[in-house]
Amino acid sequence: MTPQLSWYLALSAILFTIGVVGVIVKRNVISMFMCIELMLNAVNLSFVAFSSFFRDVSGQLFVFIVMTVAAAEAAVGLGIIIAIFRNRESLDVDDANILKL
Amino acid sequence: MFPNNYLCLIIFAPLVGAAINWFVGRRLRNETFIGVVACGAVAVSAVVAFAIAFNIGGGAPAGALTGGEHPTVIGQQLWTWIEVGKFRADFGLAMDRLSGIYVCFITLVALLIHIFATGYMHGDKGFYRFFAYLNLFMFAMLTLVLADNFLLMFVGWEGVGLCSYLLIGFYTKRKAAGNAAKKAFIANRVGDWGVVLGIMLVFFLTGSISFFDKGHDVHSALSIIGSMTADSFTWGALLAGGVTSAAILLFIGATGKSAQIPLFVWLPDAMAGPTPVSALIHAATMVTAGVYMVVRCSAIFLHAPTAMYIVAIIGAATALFAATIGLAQNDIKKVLAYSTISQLGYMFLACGVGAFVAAIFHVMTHAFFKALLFLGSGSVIHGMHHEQDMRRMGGLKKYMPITFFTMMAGWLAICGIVPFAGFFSKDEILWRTWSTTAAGIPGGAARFLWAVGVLTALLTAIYMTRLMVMTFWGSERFREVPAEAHGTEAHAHSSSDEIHAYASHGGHGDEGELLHPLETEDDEEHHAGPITPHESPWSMTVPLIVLAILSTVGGLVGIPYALSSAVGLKVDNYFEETLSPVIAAVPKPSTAEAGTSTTSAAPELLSHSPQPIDGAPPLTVSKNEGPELGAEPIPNPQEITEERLFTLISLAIAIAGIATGWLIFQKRPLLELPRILENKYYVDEIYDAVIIEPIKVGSREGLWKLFDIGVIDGIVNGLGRSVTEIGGLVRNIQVGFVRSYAAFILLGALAVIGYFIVKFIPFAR
Repeated sequence: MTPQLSWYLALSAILFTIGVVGVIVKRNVISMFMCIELMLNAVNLSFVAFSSFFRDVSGQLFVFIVMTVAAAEAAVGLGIIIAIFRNRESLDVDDANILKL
Repeated sequence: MFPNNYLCLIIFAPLVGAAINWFVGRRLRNETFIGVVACGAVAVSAVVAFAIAFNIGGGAPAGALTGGEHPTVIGQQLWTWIEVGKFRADFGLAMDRLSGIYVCFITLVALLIHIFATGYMHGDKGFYRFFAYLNLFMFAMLTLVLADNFLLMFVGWEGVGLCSYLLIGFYTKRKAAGNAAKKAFIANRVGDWGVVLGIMLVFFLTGSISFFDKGHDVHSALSIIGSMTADSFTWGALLAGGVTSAAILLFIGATGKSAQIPLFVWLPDAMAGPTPVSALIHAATMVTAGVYMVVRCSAIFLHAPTAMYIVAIIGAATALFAATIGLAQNDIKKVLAYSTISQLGYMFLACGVGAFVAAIFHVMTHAFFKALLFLGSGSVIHGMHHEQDMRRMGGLKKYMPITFFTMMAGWLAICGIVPFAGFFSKDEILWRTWSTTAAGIPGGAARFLWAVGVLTALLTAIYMTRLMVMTFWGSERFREVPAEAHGTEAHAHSSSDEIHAYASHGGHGDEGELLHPLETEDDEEHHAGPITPHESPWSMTVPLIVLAILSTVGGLVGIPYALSSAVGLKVDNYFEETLSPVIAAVPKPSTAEAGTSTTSAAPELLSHSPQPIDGAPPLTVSKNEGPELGAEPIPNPQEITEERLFTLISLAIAIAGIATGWLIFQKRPLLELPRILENKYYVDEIYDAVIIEPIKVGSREGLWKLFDIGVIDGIVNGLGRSVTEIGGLVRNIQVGFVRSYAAFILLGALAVIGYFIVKFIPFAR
């Protein structure tokens, strides 16, 4: 049985939903961050799947761009997380609710 | 129009004088310097004015006032002020016979009053300010008179209003003076509204605002109107937007400036200003600006019989009304103020019945004798140490002989005793009223107006006699200790110590001797005990003497033919002969106009007919056939007899008035007159209740409390409040929890996705 496009898309959707739910449900900043990465990779998966099935390389190029952005975002995000932790001694996002450090 | 480049000197000399006094005089604080600059500036004006008017020094073919039947208009075009499309206003001056007469008597009287004021204002802290204002007034007044178009005349018109305001409120420390100044300014604004609308309407009707034909497509608005068909005599014409509406709008302005019913209320209050100001502005010159405008626009008024009728009625009503009030006033200046209003009423009566020449004649003689009376009263007030109440005067002829004799001349002149100036002009007005041929005035109405005029003449004689008797004859009431301390309104402008020093050892011993030996410095300083009057210094008495001479002989320039022939001289009325060419001829009744084309109507305006610029005699213009207004041919004997009869009547009336006044007030100078007269018919109170209070209440309750607080503040506050409330709703979303933001982002994304699903995917519907 050859893999269909819909399989990849379904997996991508499941991963994305897990990410969304994780962002909303989790309180730990690190966990939320990982969930965001999960969403990005779910999208990457669908890009690659489309690229492969339509024989179009531009989908893969998009994936590279997304990965670059994700890397930059991870650097900035982790920096913010460390700064928050130094101030609050906590990684609970609900503690950081006054829009300033 | 004959060019003359010195014409602008007449208006600019006082302006320069005002500037020097304002910028230099205020630093020098030297009364001699300020007085010389101010009087010198006016003297320059006067000399230039007379030189141009009588063509002294040659140059022109004739002066503005000479040249017999061929009037010369002297003009100077300074620059084009406004030019927008068809609208063109020049800063141009023009002296024809009307403005020539005005300029001559204005500069002459003003020069005398300036000299008088140097004595009267001596020792005042605002000496430089006073003369700067006075010179500025001269600039504005002369601009008004010499302007060659409506708009520039209006500039002068507003300028004199401003200077009047500044000078009425000259004693800035007196609340009453400030209020009077505001009252004058506001009452004049009401009138100016009419002038502005009138000028607009004239431009709308004619496409021009110039008084004269000046070549280069500048046509005279007046001659254009002169060539139109006259309006018929209907009340509807007032609102029809034609010539009648223009005339009545201009007349509204005249009622403001010249203190006629219903806008006369400011003039009596304007007496709060220094007396020379009252004499110059509120008697001799500014208040006659309304008459000037009406006569200048005689072409407009003659085409508006309804407006003429109204002018005559307002004039007669004002004359009688003010005379009755003047009868009962106790303030010497108030009597003269009401007298001025009354005499201005005469002038408008004359305008209304078409006797424009007589009106201007009365303006001139009135300027002489009323300036004299005001300056005389100023001298009395000065000599009485700023006492204005006639009840505290009496017997002054012993102390102030020069003032007394000069005021005698003014008194006889205003009463109309032959041969004083007022006799001829007043008699002329009454005769013209009786025999008016002006369209629209029914014969019966003319008789009635004449009766009002005669009654006013009688009252005039009575109240002026009362003034003279109360002031100069009778017991010396100023010796009685006054019931209430009367230093309250006095001493506004000068330290009387200085006046006393000046008067007693100022180099004129005979006047010093007039001072009563009882007078002490304590009396001066505390102003409590009886005071002793003294004669005024020469700077005040000399103008009085000159004006007295003018009041005595000034009327001789206008002796009517009927009177001169009675004594065998048989000269025509010189004044009328001079002035009548500039007065528009009576247009033919509109019914007769039907067949005639405009060509026959064109030359009716004699002075405005085209004149070659090189000064050659103007084109011959056909004299109007009728005997109405042109330089009259010798009238028929019956008319002469009638006119002589009426002269005798007015003389008899004047003598009767003087006799009545003498008999009543010689015995009982303090006779109580009806309160309603003393309180001026409660006109001020009525205006307060009917106009001012409703405006105040309406402004406070309606405009302020309802509109400003409710609507304006309501909009502003409502905006702020609604922003706050919407913000209060929105802030509930902003809880600060990152996860709730994430949830909102998710909801938003879902909403967008849901929208596109519903919209673009057919099967989802």
